[in-house]
Amino acid sequence: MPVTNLQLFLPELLLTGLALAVLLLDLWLPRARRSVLPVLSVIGLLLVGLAAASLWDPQRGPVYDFWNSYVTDNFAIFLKVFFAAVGGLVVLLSTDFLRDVRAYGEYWSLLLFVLLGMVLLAGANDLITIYLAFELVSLVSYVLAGYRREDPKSNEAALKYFLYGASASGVMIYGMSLLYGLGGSTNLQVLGERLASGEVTPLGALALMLVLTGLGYKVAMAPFQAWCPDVYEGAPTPVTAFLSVGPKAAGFAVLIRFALSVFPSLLPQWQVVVAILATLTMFVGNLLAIRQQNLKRLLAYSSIAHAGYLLIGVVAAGSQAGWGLPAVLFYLVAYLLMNLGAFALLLLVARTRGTEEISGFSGLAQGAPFAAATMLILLLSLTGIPPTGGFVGKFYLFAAAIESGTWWWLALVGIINSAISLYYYMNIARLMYFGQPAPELVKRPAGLSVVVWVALIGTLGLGLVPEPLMALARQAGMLFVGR
Amino acid sequence: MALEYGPVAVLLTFGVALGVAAMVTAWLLRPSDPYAAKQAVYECGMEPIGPAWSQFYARYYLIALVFVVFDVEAIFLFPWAAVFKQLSAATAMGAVPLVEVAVFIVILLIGLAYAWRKGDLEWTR
Amino acid sequence: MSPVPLQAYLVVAGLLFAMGLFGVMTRRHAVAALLGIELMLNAANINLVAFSHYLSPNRAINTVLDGQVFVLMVIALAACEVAVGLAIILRLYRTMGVLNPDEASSMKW
Repeated sequence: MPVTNLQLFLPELLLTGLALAVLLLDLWLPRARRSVLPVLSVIGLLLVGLAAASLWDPQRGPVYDFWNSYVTDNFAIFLKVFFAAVGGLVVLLSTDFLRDVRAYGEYWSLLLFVLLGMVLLAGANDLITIYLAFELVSLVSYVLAGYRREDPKSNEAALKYFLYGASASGVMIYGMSLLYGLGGSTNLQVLGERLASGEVTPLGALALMLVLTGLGYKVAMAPFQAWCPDVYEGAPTPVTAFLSVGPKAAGFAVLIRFALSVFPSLLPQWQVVVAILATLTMFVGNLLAIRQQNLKRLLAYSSIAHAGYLLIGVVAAGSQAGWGLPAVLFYLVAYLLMNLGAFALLLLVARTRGTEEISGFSGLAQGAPFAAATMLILLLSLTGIPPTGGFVGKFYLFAAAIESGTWWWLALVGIINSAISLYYYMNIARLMYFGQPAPELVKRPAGLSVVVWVALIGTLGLGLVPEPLMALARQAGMLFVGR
Repeated sequence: MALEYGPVAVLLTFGVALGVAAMVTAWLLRPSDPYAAKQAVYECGMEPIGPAWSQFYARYYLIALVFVVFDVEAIFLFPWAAVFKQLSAATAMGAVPLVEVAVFIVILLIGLAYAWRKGDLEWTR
Repeated sequence: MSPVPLQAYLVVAGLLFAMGLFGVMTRRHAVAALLGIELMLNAANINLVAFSHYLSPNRAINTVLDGQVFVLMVIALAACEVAVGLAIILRLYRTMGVLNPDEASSMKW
């Protein structure tokens, strides 16, 4: 079937239109009026999110479109709404930073194009679509990482991101070409059926490994995490905040869809591999985070560790999709809120004190008690201490691991790692409350304040009443249950 | 099966042999008399000035990049043109394939407009 | 002449891929690494076209076209990748005066 109804494609169409409109407006609007662009972007993203949410229907199964290369199901819709939220928050984070950047308008359209790529990845159901959307996300992310063109660090981050990312996608596309040869199709379901009927060949295992490598880079899974700290440190802070949640979530979306659609026959094998890599990822992230002095770099390592926690959910989803998938989706939302909140506070502090080092937070509690208290709650959430969204998210992830039977030990690894992370997160809290007092934060740009409030309310809200979101996440994960 | 590649092997052998033979013969016949001028780079008879890694005008690079991207996008039009007749006959609405490709081209044109407006197509500025 | 067997294509593609990967991992020059990436992409292209041909029941006409469509996409994206990559490399050269990702290291651990 070609296109059955374009209505299901409405969020994507809206987002494409929005991105192109912002691009063109930037060219023809007079310089002074360009501040409407972020406003337009936020409103547009709100509409995209609403359009996606309106497609939500717990009863409906997956609808395949465009010759089965694109699927609309609750899993994809959940992620589309999520990505629209990511986009909106990142736009709010960026407004202040962009005041002193020369090329102003491009930023918004680039951001919208990455979001488009991510939204497409959520629904991609064909190797070709996955590759196209994946590259749309990657190529534009490289540019965003190097957005501060006069800053050598930003350029260096862009180059490293580019070289690692492009090699990873080269490896992935080679794996995909082998898969196409083995299954005779690029459609995920057809591939899954054909691969399930034959026995596991070495070539099939190789293809799996190659594709996993490519996706592993995107989500910064160890041992493919080397690019992550440098890129996160060098990229402009709002972009770092975006990279740590956006493309990562999109990578997880593809990883899950891929693993559960194409490789049911190789399930035990890839579970072993991913479980080992998850353990490695958690330890690498947490242990290397301990000695970081730069907060952006610390958050980079922490984001590697969080990718490790999420991988627990992916492994568990292999045996118990009803537990693993909702846990992953829930944790993505919780991580978005606490991480973007932390980045917003970092931007606020760096703006007044001119440093991105942890020492910038020293004595924050005296000068800005509210900001310090918020940061404390976000740090508690990142560690996984109640009553926060991070705690509930981790609880669901570990519960999924225990529920899956074989993989219960991943929960143990996760708990040990949370204990390690307590050390470096609480180090920041200690500095804030017992460090040398410093002047209060003079300027509080409106965009950043909104993000801080959203993060605070969201994190506490998810911690106290997790059930509504969890119910939605369960419906989104229903799709793969019973496979 | 191996025999079918025979001609290729023969061609390969002769090709390599001829090249080697020519060089060996020349080496045997020529007098050996090296001097400095012989070692110099030969470039249309002029004395080479400076290293070959000189700077090129930066505009070349921008225009080349814009060209490469648009050039490659054109490959999508060839398969479309090849099946256009069948496609518009097959679908109920004959104009659909045309509209689809128009959307594609309009998006490309927006890219071109962007490059133009940013002044990347100007030779001097 | 009998047609070239599928294995021949796969071996060529495999070698090309290995060369590309080796180039990316060993070459210190950013542009050389970019070349390695292109080799990897083209190895995948050879695979895709070869599979597309051998998967078609009647080899006179290729009917399993997914692979060929895929190749077109890869070619187009490779061009975009080069454009973005070169732009980034040029920027780095202007700000730091180096073309070597190792030399361009202001950040450590």
